Amino acid sequence: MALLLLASAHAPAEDSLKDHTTVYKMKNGMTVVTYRRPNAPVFCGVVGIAAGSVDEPIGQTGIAHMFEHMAFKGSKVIGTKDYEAELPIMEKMDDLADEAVRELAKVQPDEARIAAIREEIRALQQQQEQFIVKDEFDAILAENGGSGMNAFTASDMTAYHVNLPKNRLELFFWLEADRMRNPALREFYSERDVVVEERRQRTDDDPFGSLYEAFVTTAFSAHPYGRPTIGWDSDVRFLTRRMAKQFFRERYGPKSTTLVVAGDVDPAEVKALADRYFGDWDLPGRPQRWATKEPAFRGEKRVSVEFDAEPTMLIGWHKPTVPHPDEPALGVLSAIIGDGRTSRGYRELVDGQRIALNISAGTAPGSRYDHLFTVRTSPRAPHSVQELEAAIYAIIEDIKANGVTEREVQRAINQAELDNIASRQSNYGMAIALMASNVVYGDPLALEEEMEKYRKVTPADVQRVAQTYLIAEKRTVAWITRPAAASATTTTEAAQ
Amino acid sequence: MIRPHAFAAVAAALVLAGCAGTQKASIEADSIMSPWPSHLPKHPSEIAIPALEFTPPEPEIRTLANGISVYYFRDSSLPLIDFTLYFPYGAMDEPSRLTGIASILGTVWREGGTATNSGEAISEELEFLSASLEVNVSERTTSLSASSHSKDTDRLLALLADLTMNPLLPEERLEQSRARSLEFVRRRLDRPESLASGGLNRAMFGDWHPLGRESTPETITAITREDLAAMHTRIVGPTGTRMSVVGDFEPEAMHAKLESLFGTLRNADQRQWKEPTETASVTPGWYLIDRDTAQTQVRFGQLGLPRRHPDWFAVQVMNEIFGGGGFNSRLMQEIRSRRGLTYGVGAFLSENDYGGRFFLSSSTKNESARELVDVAIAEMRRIMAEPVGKAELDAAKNAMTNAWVFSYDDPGQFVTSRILEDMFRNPPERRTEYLAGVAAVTAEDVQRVARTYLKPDGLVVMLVGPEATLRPQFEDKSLKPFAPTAATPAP
Repeated sequence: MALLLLASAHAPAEDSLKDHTTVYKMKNGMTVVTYRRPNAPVFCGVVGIAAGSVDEPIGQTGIAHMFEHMAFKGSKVIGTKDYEAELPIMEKMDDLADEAVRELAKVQPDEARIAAIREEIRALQQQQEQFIVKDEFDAILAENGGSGMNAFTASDMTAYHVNLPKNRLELFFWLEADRMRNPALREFYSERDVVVEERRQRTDDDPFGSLYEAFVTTAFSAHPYGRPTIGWDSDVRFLTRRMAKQFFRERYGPKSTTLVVAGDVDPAEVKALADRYFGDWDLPGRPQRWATKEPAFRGEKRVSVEFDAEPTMLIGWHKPTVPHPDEPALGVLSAIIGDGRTSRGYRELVDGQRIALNISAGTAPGSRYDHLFTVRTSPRAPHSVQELEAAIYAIIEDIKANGVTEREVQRAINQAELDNIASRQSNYGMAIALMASNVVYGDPLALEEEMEKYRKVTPADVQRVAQTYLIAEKRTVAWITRPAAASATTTTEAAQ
Repeated sequence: MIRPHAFAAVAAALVLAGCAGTQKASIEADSIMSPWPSHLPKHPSEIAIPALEFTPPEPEIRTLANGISVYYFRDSSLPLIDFTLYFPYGAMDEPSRLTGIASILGTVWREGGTATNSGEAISEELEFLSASLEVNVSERTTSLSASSHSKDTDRLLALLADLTMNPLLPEERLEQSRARSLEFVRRRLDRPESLASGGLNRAMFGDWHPLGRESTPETITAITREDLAAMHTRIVGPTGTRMSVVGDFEPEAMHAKLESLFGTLRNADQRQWKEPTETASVTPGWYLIDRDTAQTQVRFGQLGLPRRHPDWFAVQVMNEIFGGGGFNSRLMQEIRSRRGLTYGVGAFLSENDYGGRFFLSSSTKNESARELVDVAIAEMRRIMAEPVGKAELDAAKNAMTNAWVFSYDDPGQFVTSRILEDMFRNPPERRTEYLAGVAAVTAEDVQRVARTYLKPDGLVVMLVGPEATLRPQFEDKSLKPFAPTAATPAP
C-alpha cells in the first residue's frame, strides 16, 4: 500500500498552475498576471511592489510601511475637495517636519521646539481638513462591495489587495492607476501617529513581537534585513512626507510592479485594461539590490529579551536563498523538524519528553536575500528554554549523524504537493503567491519549478544540509526571560 | 542617530515652492505624480458597471436513514475533498467546574485514536497523505473535519467514522492535554489583549457564567476521563446532526457510502444545545487590570440583540455605520483617521442565547486612554441622537449588498454557514431576502435600533494598562481593580 500511495502522490493535479495562468510582460517593465478561477463572479486584485523595508535608507526605518499607509489617503482626484488648496498647507507641514528632523539630530535637541512643531503641524492638519474627503479611496471600494481590502509591508515587498465583484474590474484598474500615478500623501502626520500606535500594539506590548524584533536585528548586523519593518520608534516618530515621496520616487514604478488578478476574469480583458491604464506609465523607480552580505561570525549570537511573560525562544541559522541548490533540501529539513504531529520536534519534544508546548520551523525575515532557517518553540513549565534548546540540538545532531528516512522526506514532499493544490482554492492566496513569486524569483510561475526541485530531494541531501548549515557559527538564539521585578500578579497564577 | 543632511537643502527649496503654491501651483516642486492619460475616465463615477449575473448555488440536502442531514456541494475543479460533521452540542451546557473541557476533549479525542487506529498511527498515515482530521469542541457545537486529496476519500472516511464513534479517550492522553492546557492558562496573562477581552467577559457575566468563564488550574485539574467519555456520549448521535461534503466526488456512490458508515448511528443519550429561557444580567461598571504596558487596552461591553429578532437587518446596517464597517466606520474615521489615537477600533452588536452582546475594542497610548473612551461614547450618543444622512446610509447598504456575493466564493464556507444557520434555526429569510432586507432599512430604523440597543450609560468598561497613568484620567469613574483570573472557585 505504501508503494501505491507513493506512486499516486507523485501524480500532479489534473491541470497544472500554468493552464490557469497568463503572464503579460508590459513594455514599460510591469508584469501583469491573470489566474482564472471561475467559481464565483468575483476576483482578487493585488498590486505588489518589489520594495520593502530591506530597501529603506538608514535613519528612515519604517518608511516603506509608512508609504503603504499613505497609499490609502487618496490622490489629486480622490479624497479631496480642492487639491490645489491643500498643497501649500502640506508644504508648510513638510517644512516643519524637516525642521523637527534637523532638531532631533542635534546633540542636544530643543525638546520644546519639537513639541511646538508637533502642535503647529496638528493645527495645519486641522486647517487642511476642510479640503479633505475622509478616506474616500476606502469608501469607494467598500461601497462597490470591496472585501478584505488592505495592504502589507514586508522586508521584501509591499502589496495592496482587495476582493471585488467581477463587474468592478475596470474600477479596480482605475483606482490602482490613480494611486500609483497621483499619490497625494495627505494626512501624513496624523497617520504617523497611527503607525506609532501600531508599533506599540504589535511590538512593544506583544512578547513575541518584541522577541522577533530582537532576534532579527541581532542575526543581521551588516545586511539591511536586520531592520524592523515597522521601524525603530525614534525613526517612525520623525518620518516625513518628503522621505515617503523620495522612497516612492526611487522604488515605485512599472519596473517594480506586479499586478495580479485572480478569479472569474478573462485574461484578454485584463491585458486590455492593463494597457489602457498602465501602458504609458513611466517612472524611473526600480528594484534595488544590496551587495552587502552578512559576514561570517566567529561564534553564535545570543540575546535575551526581558518581558513580563512566559518564556519563548527563536533559533535561527543563516542559509542561502533561491536559486541556491541547497534550498529545496533545507525546505524538507524544516518540515521534518517542525511541521505537523509527526515531525521530529513535535514527536520528541511536545509528545515524547513533554518539555515543549509547541514547535514550528520556517524561515525569516524574507527571501530576496540569504536569510534564516528558524525554529520557534516554547517550553512547558517547569522546563526552561535552556533545557529545550539542548533538546532541539540533540534532534539536529541525530539528523546530522544518522540522517532521515525516505518516508520522512516523502511526507514533506507530499505535503508541499497538496498544499500547492489547496492554495488554489483561494483567489487571495493565489494572487499573493503569484505576485510574491515574481518579486522573489522574477517569474510568477517559478513555484512549479521550485516544486520540481523539491520532488528530487533525497535523505542524503537533507543530512548534508543539516551538517552544512545548522551549526553554531551560523546561529542566533533569542529568548524571553521575565525581569526579576515583574509584577506579582503573573507569578501567582502559575500552576505547578 | 545619523540623519540625512540633504533634507536641509530640500526644505529650503520648498519654502520657495510653497510661496509659488499660493498662486495656484498645479503641482508640488518635488511632485511624484505622473500625467493622467486623456483617454481614461477622469473619475471612477464615469466607469460603467455592467450588471452582475449570479444565481447563488444551493447545496443538495439529503437525509440518512437515522436522520443525519447531509449537505452536498460538488466542485470537481480540484482533486480535493472535505467532510465536516456538526453535532448540536458543545461545552456551553457543561458545568462550570469543568471549564476548559472543550479544548481538552477535542485534543484527547483526536490524539487518543481508537482501538483499531491509534492516535499516532492516524497522524502518521494522514500526514503522509497530506490529509487532515481534526476535532473541534466549541460552545454550542462540536465538529469533526477531514480533508484530503480525493483519491484518498475512502480511507479518510473510514478514519473519520471510526474516530467519530469509537474514540478511546485514553487517560495518558488526558494527562498530556491537561499539562498543555495548564501551560496555556499560564500564558493567557502574557498578552494585554487577551487579558482585556477575557476580563471584559468575566466582568460582564460573572466568573462562572457560560459566557464569562475562563478555565483555571483548578477546573483543568478536575477533569477526569469519565467526564470526557460522558461528554462524548452527549455529543455523538444522529439527532440534529448535519454533515457537509464539499469537493470532488460522485454523488450517488458518496451517499451510499455515508449511509453505510454513518446511517446506523443511534444514541438515546445524545443531547442538544438548549436555548436559555432568561437573558443574562449585566451590571455596569468601570474596571482596571494594572499592567506595565505601552498602550492601554480598552473594551466596552453590554447586552445586544436577542436571537432571531426582526431588528436583525437594521442592526446589521447600524453596526456597519457605527463600528463594524472597516476603515469607513464612524469609530475608525474619528478615532484612527482623524485623531491618530489607535491602529484599530471596532464595535459589534450581535445576537446570542443570552440576549446578545455589544462589544467595542481598541487600544491607545496610555496618556490618551480617556480621550479614546470619551470619543467612543460620544459616537454611541451621536448615532442615537441624530438620524444618519442619506449618503452615509446608502454607502453602508451598498457596501453590504455589493459584498454579498463573497458569501459564495468559498464553497466550504458557504455550506458551513448554511449548516449553522439551520442548526440555530435562523429565519431563512435572512438568506433568501438578504438584499431586500438590507435595502429596506431606513435612517429611522438605524436610529431606532441604536436607541433600543446601545446603552452608553450602562456599559461595562475594562481597561488594561498602568494604574498610575490611568487612575488620574478616570477619577470620576472610580475604577475598580480587577483580578486577571477568576477570584472565586467554580461552583
